[in-house]
Amino acid sequence: MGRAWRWLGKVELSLWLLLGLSADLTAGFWCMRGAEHLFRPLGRVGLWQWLQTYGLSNFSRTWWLMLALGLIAMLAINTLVCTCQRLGPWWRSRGGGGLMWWLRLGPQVMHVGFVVVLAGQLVSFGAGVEVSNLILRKGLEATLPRGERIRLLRLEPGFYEGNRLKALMGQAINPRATVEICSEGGQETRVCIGLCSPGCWGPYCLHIKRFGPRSRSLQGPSYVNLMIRTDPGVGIFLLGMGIFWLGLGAYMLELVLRVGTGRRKGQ
Amino acid sequence: MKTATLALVLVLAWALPAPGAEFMAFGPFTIHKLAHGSYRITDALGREILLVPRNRSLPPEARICPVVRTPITRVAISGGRDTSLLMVLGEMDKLVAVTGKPDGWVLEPVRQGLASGRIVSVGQGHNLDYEQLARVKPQVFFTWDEAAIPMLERLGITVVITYADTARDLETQLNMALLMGVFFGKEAEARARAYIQRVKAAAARMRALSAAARRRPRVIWGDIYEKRVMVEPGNSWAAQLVKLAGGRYLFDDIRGTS
Repeated sequence: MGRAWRWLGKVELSLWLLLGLSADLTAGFWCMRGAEHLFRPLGRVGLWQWLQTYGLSNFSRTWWLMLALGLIAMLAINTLVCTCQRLGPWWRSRGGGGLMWWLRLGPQVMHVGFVVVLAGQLVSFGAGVEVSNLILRKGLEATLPRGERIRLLRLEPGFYEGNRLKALMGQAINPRATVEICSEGGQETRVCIGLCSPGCWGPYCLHIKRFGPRSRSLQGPSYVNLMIRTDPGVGIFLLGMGIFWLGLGAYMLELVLRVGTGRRKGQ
Repeated sequence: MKTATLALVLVLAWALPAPGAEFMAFGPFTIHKLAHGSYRITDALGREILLVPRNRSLPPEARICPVVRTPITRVAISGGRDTSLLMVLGEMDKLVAVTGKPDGWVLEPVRQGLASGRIVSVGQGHNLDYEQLARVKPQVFFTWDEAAIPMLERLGITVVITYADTARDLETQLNMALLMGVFFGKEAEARARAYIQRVKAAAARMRALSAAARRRPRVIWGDIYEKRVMVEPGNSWAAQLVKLAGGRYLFDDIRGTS
């Protein structure tokens, strides 16, 4: 057990895992070619459901992603074990304590931040899509997953008005949808959603997936197809980023102070 | 090292799910065979629809997915390409509504049905006649128009979107027969599988015959309108057929939608 613990915390293992991950992702580039339809649903279904369906049924094309997940999991374990192993010597060196002693914890804090970021990504990957297709047309209401009512007030297609790019002439390039959400308590809120700027309301994040009409020459009703996410992993991800930056700040400060002390001693 | 490797293998073996029931993915569509003759299909938008035999109770997923009781007896279809698959499945008598003008149809059973009134035309493009649809009450509407979903769902009609952002390749086009077949029951499903095998065998023969061709003509496949020409991209089934027959598809380097 002791030998396994030491092995799991080795820097050499980190290097091999990173090299393995690079090789695996390179293989994945080739496996994905011509099989993009197998991976697009990852944005819609949960990771677990994807593994059980698309993943296992097309193993020859998807093995690399499963291996990548395993390697990243091992990297997270390696990082945590390495961090724990460093805590012992750090604690034993406490002596009188002091700022420098605390700052020496910087790299370990960064490692913890990294693992928390990965955990946030995994949570987002596994859960968070409430509705993958909510189609709204003007004048018709729809219901959100928790009972709220939503309706489309306005869709501005944002047609290309220039004349420099012929392929885009008359095409909608910057659609903006205004929706009204009515909570169960009767409170109405307007939310504006752009193609690259999702709207947020309560626990939901609303993304424009598709819309119409997409060009001036096309007739048809105005509609917008929304993807609605709750994304519970965002908070964890941001927490991990905060922890990482805290560790990085401590590391940089320790470096600056150490260099400064070294110069004074030299003088 | 050995202990750690064994630990990793055990973790992965526990974490990875056991191979599930039959699951097929082709283009954006999927067919997932569930227990007791039920299916979960995914349409071109990624919308999941549950197909449950009439004599079976609804599974838990029915709370969040539209449910269609199979075999269906009334269907509406938009477009000749998917309507022609009903001939393969032997279920043309289940067709109750189509889009487009009656004189625009070339499929003889559809022309006869429109003439006799057994099949109705429910408009075309974005101008669907919802009153006609409400009158003929199809259980399922296979259509390309996602904008029609909110209105059709209010009429109690389940919509299957058949148009994706990527052109159908040959594999996807063939398996559309199976996707439609599972709506009509076991016999239609079996006919779809037989059809797929026949076409694949014919494609293999074509490939063998054209391998020795000395001349490879350049071909395009498209529609010519007054001010534009719209062609199939290189990833489409039309381009693949041209290549199978020994031709060179002129737009082979273009990827896109139909």
